[in-house]
Amino acid sequence: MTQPEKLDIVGRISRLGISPKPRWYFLLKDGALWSLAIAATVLGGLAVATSIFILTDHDWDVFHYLDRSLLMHVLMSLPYLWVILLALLLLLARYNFSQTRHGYRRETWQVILASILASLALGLMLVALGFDSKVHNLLLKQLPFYGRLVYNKDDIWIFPDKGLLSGFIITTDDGRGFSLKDPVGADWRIILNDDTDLCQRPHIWPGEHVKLIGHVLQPHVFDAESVRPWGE
Amino acid sequence: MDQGTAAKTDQELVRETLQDPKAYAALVERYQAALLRYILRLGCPSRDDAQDVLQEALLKAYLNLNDYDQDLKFSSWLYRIVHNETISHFRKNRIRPRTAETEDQMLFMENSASELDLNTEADRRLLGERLERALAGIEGKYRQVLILRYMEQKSYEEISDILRLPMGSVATLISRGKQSLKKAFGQNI
Repeated sequence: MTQPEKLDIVGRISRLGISPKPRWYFLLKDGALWSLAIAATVLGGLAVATSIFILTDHDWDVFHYLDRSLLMHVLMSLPYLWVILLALLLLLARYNFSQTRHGYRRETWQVILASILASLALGLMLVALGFDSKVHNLLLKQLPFYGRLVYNKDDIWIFPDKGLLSGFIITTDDGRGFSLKDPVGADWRIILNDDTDLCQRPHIWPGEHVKLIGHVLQPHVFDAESVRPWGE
Repeated sequence: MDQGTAAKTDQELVRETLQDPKAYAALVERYQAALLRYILRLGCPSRDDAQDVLQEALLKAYLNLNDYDQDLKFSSWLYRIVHNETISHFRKNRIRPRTAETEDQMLFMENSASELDLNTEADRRLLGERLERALAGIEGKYRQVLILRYMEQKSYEEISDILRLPMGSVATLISRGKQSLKKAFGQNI
């Protein structure tokens, strides 16, 4: 092959008056990519924590009151939003990492596995610190559509006709019962008897958030078979 | 290029260029023939087009010289920029890469004969024509990696650095590329 014409690159550089981009530009760019990769992994940790909260906060034993099979109950309760978000965040972390100086040398499965493990570790740490419930409840309060996209415990404890009721205790009645305001603001009279399971608690107090299993005796009168603290 | 400059390493020339742009001429002279050949092997339709692509790529390399990572071979870094500029040129101008020239076909065959199980005893002209058609018939990503391996004779590590892919992915692309090429060639494995 004949030699190429001599390229006058230096002449062109001189005519254009250009010079190499400064080193800090590339350091900043690499730093930004790393930050995005880390941010994606941290958000992945939040997704893991919130998913764990949603799954562990669930009342898996009451599905038969809702005329559902266990399988249906499980399928309806899975945190799909967070799982999809986690998957997208993992892909984002992978992409950003692969754009860094040496990131491309790692196999995709290695990067994704590392991101999963990092998100899992961070998620478990957030659960241990109690941030899992804080994030979920904050989103429920601040984002009206969030409650429609994820399983919300409130959604199953508002079927008094099926035997499931929840709310805040307003007044108590010397162990014979108490009044309750349910999530939609309706007032209920709750009847307790000797067989009512109070989950080994000697007393119940006004202001407590509770969930009840039982049956409706009359409109707005509920005979409680068990009274559980909301958080259990 | 004088003897003193010829003895300098790429890294030394890069450092000198960052102080004085005139030193870039030595790097350009060192690599321009190989890079032009590479652009043509990728399928640039004309030598003039290839010269233009090369010039733009070398300017880009100069602008990004502070991004050069000393852990990489300078040639790999430069090949990466030229590769990307060439593919970008094909996309922007909707160019269909032309097939390899005869001497490149021969080089490809010599370097790949045992791995592709080619019968190099056969009529070399016919073999060359079949290779030309086969290369034109496989996907671009396989063609590019096979050109780097069997025409540019780059190692897996160099290809990994040029294409910014993990080495495992390079190995997979080469393996699949060979399979595609064999299929297109009509040979048995």
